[in-house]
Amino acid sequence: MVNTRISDVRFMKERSVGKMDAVRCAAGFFALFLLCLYSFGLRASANDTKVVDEAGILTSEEEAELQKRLYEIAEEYQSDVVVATVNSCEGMDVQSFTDLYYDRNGYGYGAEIDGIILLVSMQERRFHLATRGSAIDTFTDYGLEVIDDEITPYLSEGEYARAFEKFADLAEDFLEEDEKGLPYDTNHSYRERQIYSLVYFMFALGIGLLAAIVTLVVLFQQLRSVRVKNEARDYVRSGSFQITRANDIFLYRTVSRRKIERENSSGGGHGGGSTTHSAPGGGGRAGGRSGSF
Amino acid sequence: MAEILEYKCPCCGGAIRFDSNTQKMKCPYCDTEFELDTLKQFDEENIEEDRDPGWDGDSVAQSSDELDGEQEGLVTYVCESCGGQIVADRSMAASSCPYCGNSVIVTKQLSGMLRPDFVIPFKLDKKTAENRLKDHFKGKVLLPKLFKSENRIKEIKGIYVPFWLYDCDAQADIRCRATRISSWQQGDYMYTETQHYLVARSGDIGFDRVPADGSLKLDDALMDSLEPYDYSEAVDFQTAYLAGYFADKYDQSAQDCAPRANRRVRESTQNAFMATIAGYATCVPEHMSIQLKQGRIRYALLPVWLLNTVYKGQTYTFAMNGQTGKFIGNLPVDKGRAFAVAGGVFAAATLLSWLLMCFLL
Repeated sequence: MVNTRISDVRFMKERSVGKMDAVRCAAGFFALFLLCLYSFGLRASANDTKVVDEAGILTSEEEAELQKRLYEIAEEYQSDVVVATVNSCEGMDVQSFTDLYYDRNGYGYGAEIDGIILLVSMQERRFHLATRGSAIDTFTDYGLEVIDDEITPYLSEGEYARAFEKFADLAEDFLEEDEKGLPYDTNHSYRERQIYSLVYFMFALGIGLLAAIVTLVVLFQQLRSVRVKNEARDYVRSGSFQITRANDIFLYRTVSRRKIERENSSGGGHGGGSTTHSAPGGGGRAGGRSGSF
Repeated sequence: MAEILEYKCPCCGGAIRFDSNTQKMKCPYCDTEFELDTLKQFDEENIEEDRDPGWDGDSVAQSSDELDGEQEGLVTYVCESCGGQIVADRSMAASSCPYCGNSVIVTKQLSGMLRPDFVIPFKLDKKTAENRLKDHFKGKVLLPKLFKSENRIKEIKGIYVPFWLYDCDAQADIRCRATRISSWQQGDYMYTETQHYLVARSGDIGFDRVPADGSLKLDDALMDSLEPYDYSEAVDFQTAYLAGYFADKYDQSAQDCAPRANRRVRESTQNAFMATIAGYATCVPEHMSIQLKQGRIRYALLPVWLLNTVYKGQTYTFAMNGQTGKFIGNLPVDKGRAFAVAGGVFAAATLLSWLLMCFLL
C-alpha cells in the first residue's frame, strides 16, 4: 500500500517535469518567432557606429550625444544617417572616397543600403554628402543644396559640433517630410515651409490675442451694468408704426469684369529630383554633393 | 410754507407706513392694516386740516430758517411726533425724522403743480434688496475676492424718484442710396453687376411714456439702467404710499429733461424705419428728417432701492428697481486676476491653434 503510494507520487512528479519541458520549449519557439517577426519588420544597419571621428575634431561628449541622436533618427526612419571625419582622402576625390567609405563600413538599411553620410576631410577642407537607396529621393539635389547652405558656415567657422547638429536636425526634418509623402524639392521648398511655419505661428499668436481680448471684454462687461439708454424701443405704442410711403426706385446699373487667373495645378508639378552616378566598386547608384569650407 | 404730514394709526396713534408685501398701510406698533382707499379719504381730510391755522406751529421757525438756509437750498421742518428740527434740502418730499425715525411727508412738495400724476408703489422690500446685492456679486470672475467679503452696506434707502414720462409722435422721412450686387462667371471673366437704387420710406410711429428722471442728485445712467418699469401697475398718486420711504420732488423741469427722451425717440424711430429696408448689399442714408410731436408729459414717482457700500475707502452705488427687482451697479476689477486670466487664455489659445495648424496643414 505504502509502496504504490510512493510510486504514484514519483509518477506524478515525472509527469509534471515533462509538462514543464513542453512549456519551456514553446516559450523558446515563441521567442524565436518574435525575433523573426522583429527582424522582418525592422531592418537593421550592419554598422551601428553613426559617428566616426578619425580627425578628432569632436570632444567625446559631443561625439556620444551625436551618436545617440543619429542612431535614433536612423532607427526611426530606417535609413542610415552617418557623420564621418577623416584626416585626408588618401589622394582620391572626396566623392569617390565617401562612396567607398560608406560601402566598406557596411552602412545602409535594407538591400538598397538606404542612407546618407556626411564626410568631412580636414586636409582638403572639403566635405561630401552621399545618398544611397531611398535616401537619394529623400535628399534631392535641391535638398542637398539646402543642407550645404546650412552647414557650410559652421564648418568654415570651425564649429564642427554645431554643423553636425544642424545636419542631424535637417536630416530628421527631410526624412519626416519624405515619410509624409512629398520630400522637399524645388516644387516643395524647404524655405517656403519655414516661411509657412512662421506665418502659422503668427496666425496662432493672433488667435491667442483675439481669444484673450474677447475673454477680457466679456468678463469686464459682467462688472458693468450701468449704461445710458439711447433708444426707446420698449415704449413704442403698439400698432402705431405705420409706413405711409415706401419707394424702391431702380436708378442704374454698373458692370465690371475681371479676368480669372487660372493657376497651374501645383500637385502635378515635378521637382528637380536627384542626379546620380554609379558608386565606385559596383556599389550601385549614389547621389551626392560636395563642398569646400 | 412747509407742511409736514404724518400718518397716525387710528388705533394707537403711532406713525404708520406703507407695507410693500401686503400693499397696504401697516402700523409697526400694533400691526393693524389699513386699505389705501380709506387713506385716500384720510389724505383729503388731512389736507383740509392742514389749512387750519392751528397746524402752523412751525411758521415762526420756518421764516427765520428760510433766510439763512436759502443760499444753501436748505429748509427746516419740525417733526410732528417729537418736535425735533429736520434739516432737508429744498427738493425733499418724504423722509424720516433723524431723532425719532418716524416718517414725514412734506405735502407742499406734492400738491398743486407738484402733485405727481401717478406712482408705482414699492413691491419689493429692503430684505430683497440686500439679498439681490449678494446675488449681484455671484458669477463675476474678475470681482476682487475681498470685495465680496469686506464689502459693507453703508446705507440702504427706498426712494421714490421723480420721473418725467413723455408721450411722443414721430414722423419720419428717410431717403437712402442702396445697392444690390450680383456676380457670375462667363468664359475667362468674372462679371460683377451693381444695381443702384433710391429707397424712400415715410411714416409715423408713436411712443408712450418714455421715462427720464427729473432728479439732479441721481445719475442719469444709473436710472436709465433700471428700466423698464411695468406701467400697468401704476396707480393714482396718494401721499400715503410715501410713508416710510424717501422722496424728492423734481429739480429738473420737464423742459430740461425732454432732450434726453427726444434723443431716444429719434434713435428708435430711425432704427424702426431702417429695419424695413431689406434685401440690399449696402444702404447709406442720404436724407433723414424726423419730426417729433410732443404729446402729454406726465409726472410720476417710481420706486428705487439705493444701496451704498464702501470698499477700500471708495463708495460704490447700487440700485434696484423697486418694482421688478432689476439690480444694477458697477463693480471694481481685480487687475491682477484680469492679467492672469488674459495670459492664461492667450497661452492656451495660441498653443492649441498652433498645434491644430501643425496637424492639419
